[in-house]
Amino acid sequence: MHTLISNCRFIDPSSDTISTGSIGFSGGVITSTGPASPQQPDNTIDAGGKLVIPGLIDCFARLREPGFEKLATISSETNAALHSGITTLMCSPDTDPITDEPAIVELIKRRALAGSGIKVLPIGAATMGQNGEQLGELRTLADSGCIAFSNGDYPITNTQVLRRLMEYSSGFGLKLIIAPQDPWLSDGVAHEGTVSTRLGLRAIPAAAETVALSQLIELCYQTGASVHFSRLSSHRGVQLVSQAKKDNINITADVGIDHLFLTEMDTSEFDSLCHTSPPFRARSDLEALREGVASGVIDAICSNHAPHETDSKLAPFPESLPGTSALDSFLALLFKLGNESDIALPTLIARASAGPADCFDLPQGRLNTGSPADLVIVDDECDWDFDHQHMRSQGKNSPYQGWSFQAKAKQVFVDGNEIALT
Amino acid sequence: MKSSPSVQKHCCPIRELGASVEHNLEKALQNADVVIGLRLQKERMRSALLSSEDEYYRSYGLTQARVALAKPDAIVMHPGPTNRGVEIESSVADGPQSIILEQVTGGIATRMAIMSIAMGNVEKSLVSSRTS
Repeated sequence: MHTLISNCRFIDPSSDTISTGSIGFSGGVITSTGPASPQQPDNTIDAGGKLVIPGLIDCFARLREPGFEKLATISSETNAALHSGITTLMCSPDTDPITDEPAIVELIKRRALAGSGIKVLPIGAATMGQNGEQLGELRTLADSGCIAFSNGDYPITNTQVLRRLMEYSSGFGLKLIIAPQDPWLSDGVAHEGTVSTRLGLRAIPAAAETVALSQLIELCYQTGASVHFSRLSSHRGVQLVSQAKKDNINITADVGIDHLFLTEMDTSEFDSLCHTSPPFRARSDLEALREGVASGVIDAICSNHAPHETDSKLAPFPESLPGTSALDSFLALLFKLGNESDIALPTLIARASAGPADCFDLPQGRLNTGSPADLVIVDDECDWDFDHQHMRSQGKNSPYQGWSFQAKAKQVFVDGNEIALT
Repeated sequence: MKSSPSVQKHCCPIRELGASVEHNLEKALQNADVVIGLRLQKERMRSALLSSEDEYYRSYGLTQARVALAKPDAIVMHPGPTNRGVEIESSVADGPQSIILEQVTGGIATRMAIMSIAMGNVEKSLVSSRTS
């Protein structure tokens, strides 16, 4: 059946513009984009002038299932993602059991199929049990459906293991995802700056990121491994990634969306909802991250979603668990950034669609003819206020209570099939 | 996946010695005249060189199907002892293309000769060959 979304504006990530016209799809793939449809549709959806974007791709989120279902489930979190226009989500391996064997990958895929209907791509454990010592069964996990490999929130401290891991993964052409954090310098709860000094919080210097990045970049250079640096947080970190790319080292990078909005100032009231890893840093870091997104040094924007139960954030700031529940606000924040910064909206959409698709060799995230028809119709002129009570994620730990937004997903299609927003 | 040739060249000393390196066993076996395996040193697996025996066999195990990718008259070598089911399938180790036993026999004679020479027997043998 040939379906046409007519009377729409649309963002094709391959161009920096917003076009008007229609988008046709048939058999699960896009068949046309442009002013008019070349063929007569069987079914027409009048978008009423609303904006159509490719389904977003979140390249790092924690779904907590299996093992931590009291915090969140694949069903609850993928539903939150769906409402943010995310049609592909890559989930972290730090579950219980850890995603280090095919049975767990199978379980996640089955639960995802029974869930909201978005594409869930498991990230496999880079080391067995995320122990940082014994290499994971990368090829076996890749054959099972793992898209990339990571040690999640646990840094691999042994540089020999890191090097072996890079050699092993590059031998199979597999991609690693590494959050650059020196484990010793990261022993804190807030950015090392004026706010942590004033509040007396144990501080994490930007060097926690840059020391680890420098080491990792050198190992990438030596081994030729393909590494995606996840969740950059510092000005200098962006510079190091930029230089490494100029040196033709095989790396890509992302930033968690919260780091494009919040700074150390947001922790000044001991607000544990702003306790994250890596920490929110200085305004200059935020500006550099935004510039990195605009220039493409940062290829992707991820949610870095970390749902927690309420009690985990009721503790005093240093004892609270780090992370935000970020899926519910993901789409709204992208559009807010488009409205409030110098970064054009098409660029931001590209960083959350074609950008991660390029990083991980995915066919979706584009509006090209023949691409999977993962599409989102967005109402970008509705005013709404963020309210914890209306969050779909099981984790209510969002720092955006009361924030005003203008964008909401209205209709979502995955492989051409509309998925009801419930 | 998209690394530049300069980076690749810089980081692989084996290539600098003149050998070509191929991580994909199926590709490496295409049209090979000789296929030689090596014993997997299981004790080294603790130093993060490999993930598991199982994955190693599936990725790099010399199976009949893989040997079939080489030339039809290719020979299969291995210095022994073999870890059957780890780096080589039993049917390959004992198969018609295998010259493993001849290689090992030759290896014993070579080692005997080297040890003999190292113990000073080379002069004696040279002297006896001159006098005769």
